[in-house]
Amino acid sequence: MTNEVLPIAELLKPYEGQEVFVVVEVVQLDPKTNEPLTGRLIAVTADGQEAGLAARQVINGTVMIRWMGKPAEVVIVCADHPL
Amino acid sequence: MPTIPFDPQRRLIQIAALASDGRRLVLQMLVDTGASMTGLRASALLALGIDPQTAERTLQLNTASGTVSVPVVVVPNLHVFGVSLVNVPVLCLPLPAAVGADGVLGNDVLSHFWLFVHFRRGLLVAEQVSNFWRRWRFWWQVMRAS
Repeated sequence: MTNEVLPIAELLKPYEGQEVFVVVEVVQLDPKTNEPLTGRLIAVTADGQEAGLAARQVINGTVMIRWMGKPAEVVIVCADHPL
Repeated sequence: MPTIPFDPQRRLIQIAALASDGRRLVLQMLVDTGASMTGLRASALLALGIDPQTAERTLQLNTASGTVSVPVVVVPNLHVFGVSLVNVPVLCLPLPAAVGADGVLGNDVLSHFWLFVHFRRGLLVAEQVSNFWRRWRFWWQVMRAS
């Protein structure tokens, strides 16, 4: 994995449409929107749990995990829990 | 941060969660007013250093596709719409990877806010339910967003 700091869009572009999770250490966030701007690639994996564990390599920093596959329709969740 | 841009196609909102060791995780969440509780997928919880398998509580979930039992864990800090919420009980959701979101923001979190969503412009106005000044700021932002 490269340790180069790149814009997030550039980091994610090679994986677009692939059914993988990309783990990125976020180096710079937009101060207004909190949108990640630049980062460093940590891991690329098809397994969500592996992605979560890989994200723990980042100590005292900001990290994000992105699913790069085609988004599916969304399920509504209703928990059986009194508010 | 009362006005938040979002992708109207994917309907995802950006929030942040803090692990107990200070690590910060940027999360893409679905705003789900039909969900009574907030939930995160296992990968996000693991990234925060929380192992859902060690959860002391489970909860029965009724979803569109059936009923499942899921672990309930506590996230030390959720930073939502500019407000920090501490020790938030969160479900570990078995979301398929293709859902594309790290989790859903449910009513337990959303009920802390006044909300206005402008889908066509991809804007969400959120203001913490509080005093007159915040209420005024909320309506001002809504007028600007509309």
